Amino acid sequence: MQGINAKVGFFPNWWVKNYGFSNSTEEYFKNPELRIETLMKQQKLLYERFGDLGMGNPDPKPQPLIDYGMVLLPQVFGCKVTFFDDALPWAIPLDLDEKGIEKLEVPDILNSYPMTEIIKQMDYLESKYGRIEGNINTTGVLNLALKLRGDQLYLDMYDNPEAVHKLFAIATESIIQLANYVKGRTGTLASSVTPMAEPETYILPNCTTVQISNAMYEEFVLPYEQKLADSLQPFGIHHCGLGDETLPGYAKLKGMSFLEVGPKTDLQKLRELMPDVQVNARIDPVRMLNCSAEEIAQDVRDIIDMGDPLEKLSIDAVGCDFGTPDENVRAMLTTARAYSAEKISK
Amino acid sequence: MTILEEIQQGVITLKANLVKESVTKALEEGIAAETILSDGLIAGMAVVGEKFKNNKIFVPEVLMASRATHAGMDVLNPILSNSQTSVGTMVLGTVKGDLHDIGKNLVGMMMEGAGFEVIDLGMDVSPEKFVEEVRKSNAQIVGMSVLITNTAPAVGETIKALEEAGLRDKVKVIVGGAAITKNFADEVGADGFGANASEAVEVAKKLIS
Repeated sequence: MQGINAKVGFFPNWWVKNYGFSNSTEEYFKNPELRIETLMKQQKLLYERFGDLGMGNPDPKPQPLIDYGMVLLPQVFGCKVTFFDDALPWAIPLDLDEKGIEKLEVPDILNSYPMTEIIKQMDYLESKYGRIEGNINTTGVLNLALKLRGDQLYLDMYDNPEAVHKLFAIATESIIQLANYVKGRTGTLASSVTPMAEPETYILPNCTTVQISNAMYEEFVLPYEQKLADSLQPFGIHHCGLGDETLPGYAKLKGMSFLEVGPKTDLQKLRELMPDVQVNARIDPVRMLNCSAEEIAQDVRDIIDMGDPLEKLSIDAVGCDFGTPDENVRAMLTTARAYSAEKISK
Repeated sequence: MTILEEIQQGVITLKANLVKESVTKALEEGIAAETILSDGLIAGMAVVGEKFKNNKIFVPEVLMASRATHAGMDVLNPILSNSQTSVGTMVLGTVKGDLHDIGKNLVGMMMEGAGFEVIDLGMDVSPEKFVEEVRKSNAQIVGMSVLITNTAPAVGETIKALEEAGLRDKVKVIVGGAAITKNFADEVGADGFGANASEAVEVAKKLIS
């Protein structure tokens, strides 16, 4: 009997400290051949280390992959981006003032840097390999608006709701344009956010939604996410933090087929509200780093016990950092597969 | 409701104008500025901190409450600047290599709301910069925020830099952030760990009491 889908992924620092190369440098994102070479190297190393768990590939083929972290749209809008060898690239908020918001418009994304460079890379990969894999993380509505306005956005929710709606409307329109273009070229949208959803699914990154109440979510964010769900099907959400607060809001989204939630989210409550959604539950990378293999195995068993129906459940642990014990990776994957298989067979 | 309770309520209900008016009225009634600060503004922010810790309110509400507290402080500051009212001084920053600041900002606001003077060094703060600012300000507390695990070693490096500068016994070090655990804080020799902004304030108060 086959168990549920389970995966483990590693943070750039894990690659740098273990093997001396990075999958997150500026060069990695800007040089498609370096990216292909890096991916092949990673696949071989993963096979050597965790091949018995089904990870990696002893004889990888070139993957003509497109990737730009989660900074493309922020950079299109003018945010300064910092690249790291050992971490993901990060966009510094623009901290637009009210006049800046008044003047703000949906940019001509396809003719703006760095999208122009990404398109050149797509053309190159397509001409050389006949296809393009991967996709671009669009960032979410709230994530992107925070990059444009900074923390002031949260005060605007009380003082200047028109500004919030303008920012969210522009973010939404920009996301739709980018997602449609990328899907038109690659056929996929999910993997830049999560490996656990069906590749053609649009996955909305909702990393910052954990910072607001469900009332604020429903008042300000939900209408724009509904527009995304209406425009980009199939549709799912990635929520990396504790998801409990906004589960009632997510349950009101029509057309959402996938929901990824952060560690310790109340899966029973989630299932009561959204029985038919495909759920991916995440294991905390900080726990992967610091806990024992038995504690990780228990985390996995807890998720499986709460996450019925199991045919609509998966588990992953991404962002595992250098120092994460290999036995924790093994405990996570073997427990997820064996324990779920055992439950399914009963 | 007393005027001090009105001030507390103004902070808790996020009304900056009400807080400003109530603080002005309290001064006119002859209540000492120090009492207005401790029993009005700080008491209000303590309730806000508790609600935040228990997920009853979220980041926008903490920012609004902080703004309300600052509206009251703006009235009190000209009077308080002549007296010693700060509970203590904290040098605060997100550690080297880490560009996340919302958690650090919340800690800063909650600490100010609890009566601390906060010197916010921002993000990506090197150990040398922490040392320089501690030396300059004679702070009693260093607060380090860490969101991503690969930057966590910078906490130990900063503590070591404080030791090498001969400042370690003069300051208490508090750490927090999603990448940090209590065990990690103990292992690197920090004096305290705050699982959230509210807890950081409680730990800071205990450490310097």
